[in-house]
Amino acid sequence: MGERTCSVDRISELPDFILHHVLSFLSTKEAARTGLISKRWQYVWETFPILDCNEWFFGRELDILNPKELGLPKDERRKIFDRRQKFLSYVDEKLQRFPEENLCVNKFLLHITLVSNNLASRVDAWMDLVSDLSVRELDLYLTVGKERFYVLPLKVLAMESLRILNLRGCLLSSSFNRNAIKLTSLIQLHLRDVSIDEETIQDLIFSIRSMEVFSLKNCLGFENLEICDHDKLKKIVYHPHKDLKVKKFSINLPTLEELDFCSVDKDKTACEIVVNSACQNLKRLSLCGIPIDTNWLQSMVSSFPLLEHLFLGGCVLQQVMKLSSSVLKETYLCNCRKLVEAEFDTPNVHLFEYRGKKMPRLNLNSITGDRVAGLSVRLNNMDNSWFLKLNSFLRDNKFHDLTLSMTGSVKKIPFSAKGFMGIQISPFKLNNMTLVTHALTLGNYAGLLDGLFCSVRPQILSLELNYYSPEFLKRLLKSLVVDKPKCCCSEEFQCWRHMLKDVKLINNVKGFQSTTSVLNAMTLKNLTEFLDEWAIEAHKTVQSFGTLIGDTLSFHLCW
Amino acid sequence: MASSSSSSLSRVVVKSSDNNLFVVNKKVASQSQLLKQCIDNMEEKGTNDVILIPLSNVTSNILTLVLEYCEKHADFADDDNNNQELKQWDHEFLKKFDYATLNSLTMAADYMVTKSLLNLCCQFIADSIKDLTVQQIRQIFDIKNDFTPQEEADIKNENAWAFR
Repeated sequence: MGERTCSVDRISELPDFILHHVLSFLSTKEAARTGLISKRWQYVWETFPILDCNEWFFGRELDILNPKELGLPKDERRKIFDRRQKFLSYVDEKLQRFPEENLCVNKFLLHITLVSNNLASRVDAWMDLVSDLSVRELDLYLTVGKERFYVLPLKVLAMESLRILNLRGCLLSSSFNRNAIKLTSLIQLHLRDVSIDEETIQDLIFSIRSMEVFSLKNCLGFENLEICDHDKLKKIVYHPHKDLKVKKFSINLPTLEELDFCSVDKDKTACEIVVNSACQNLKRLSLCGIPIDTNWLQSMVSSFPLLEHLFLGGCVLQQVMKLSSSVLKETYLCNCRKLVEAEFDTPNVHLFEYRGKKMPRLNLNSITGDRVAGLSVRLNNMDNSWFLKLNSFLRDNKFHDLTLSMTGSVKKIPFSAKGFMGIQISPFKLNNMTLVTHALTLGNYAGLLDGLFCSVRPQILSLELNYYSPEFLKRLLKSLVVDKPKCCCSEEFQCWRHMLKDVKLINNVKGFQSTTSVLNAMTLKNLTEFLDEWAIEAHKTVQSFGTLIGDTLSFHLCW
Repeated sequence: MASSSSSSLSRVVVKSSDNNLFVVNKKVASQSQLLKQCIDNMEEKGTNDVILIPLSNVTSNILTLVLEYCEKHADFADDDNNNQELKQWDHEFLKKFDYATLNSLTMAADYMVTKSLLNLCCQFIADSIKDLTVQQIRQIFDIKNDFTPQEEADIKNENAWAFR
């Protein structure tokens, strides 16, 4: 028969597991909606092996621990109660039907707020059911009140089928026998907001011999941590709880490839980090939020012959830092406030990223590769000397990608084009400039553009969309294409508006249709309308679900 | 005895369900786990003959597409996976087809165990469903609504959380 017949429903003929695979690329809500297409799709959705039970689907306010204390009126509380009942019966139904019909469950996710102790026993019962299914991935996210924890049933630690276990907001009790842990296939263990003591951590490491990734975030119940005697662990993530004064963290694992340590301790207490030189396979090292002495750092970097990736966030102690390595390929330097001058003798680094408020002198001895800068600045600090400094910072270090985060709220930025006249400055050519703003409005959008384009000439200008201030973006765009510019030309000063040949929209935003890519009055009008709608939608998303995927609007600037 | 290098094949012949023959070089064929497995097995036996792999489930026009994909990906095999050019190519590649072809391609990718192509197809179908209403999905894929209005209302009611 003819192969080109597309007027026949062929997609529904795809086997179940392929359609399940298609659903796995959709959000749970989107996947659930496909159940309404036809009986075939209803069957596909009802047998979908990823059970995602998130209370937020039933109402964002279900995570309010004590609605009465918050002063919510009675009918509101009633509504929350009803929605929670719906959610609970939804989970009940799924967890009964799947084993009954012998359906496979690959992944089980549960997010629930335990507003009462009854709910804890309900979760216990669910865990009982789940542990009998051959689940490969289990993700438990339990919100409990302050100082309270949900005690994880031991049965979960005996699930031999599990590959990935994510626990959040539980208590891993110390009273269990080491032999009760039978996670024989487990590859990844992620603990977050979990209360656990040192001995239990050691028991887990000792018992789960197949584990390759171990992550501890914001956990309480122990002080020092030592990880050794394991022959599979490749990646360790350790982000201590803010109230935890970690004194010593030591690692001795010859198989270790990646270490990520990040402290959120406000006092920046020194912590002794010992990465034994036996960790000869270490490729990626990330250190955040702790005081770093550059001599110590240099000796660390020198002792690992495969170390390719280095991320430093937080405090480099000295004003001057030096680092040399011939194996490093990627270096990230973030928020090192004290830093005034740095020297990197790293000839093989092809990606260098700097983020911060200041613009230190960086002496980079490496191939040019990718060099990315991210600067945050308050609008009221954007004066002439700041723009001059920006120009030479980017030029001296050969950056070709810049992200500017602008904060604060002022009527006008202090830049004045007049002050630039007579100064010989050639704008630095950049590949990409992204503007991020946390400010609501500004008085002189043209002034901001004048300052930026006196200093840099990006080929691509990207604007990060944010829902709370469509106004800023709209006015900035308008200013970019304004027909009759108030020109700042003079004999010794060439205004950027005369150099900019045209602006083309790179349409990468979902839901925006435009017949032409040239940015003119018509496209501007469409964009303005689009931004308004986008902001309303985004605001809704944030309120109902919390997270928002960042969108950017990009333009090609032809100089 | 032959050394290990002399028993390695450089090319294989793949036969489609409608009996057309395709000569494929090994690097390209290796993008499909099914073909790779066949080659590995033959090499282990130490065969020097050109081997013929019949694919009873794939027609020649679909096989041509799968091989086009494998060829492109074999070129980039030594690069890292995040290659922008390749991603762009992938996207343009799938955009050309109607949904019937996309379906057959998806099935072929599964049968020939070309995981990245299978993922790509499923992602593509998912993306084309994503922002559509149920009615629009039915229209685009020509799916017949076999629910009674009552059944439809019931399902919507039961899954009200998904439609909010």
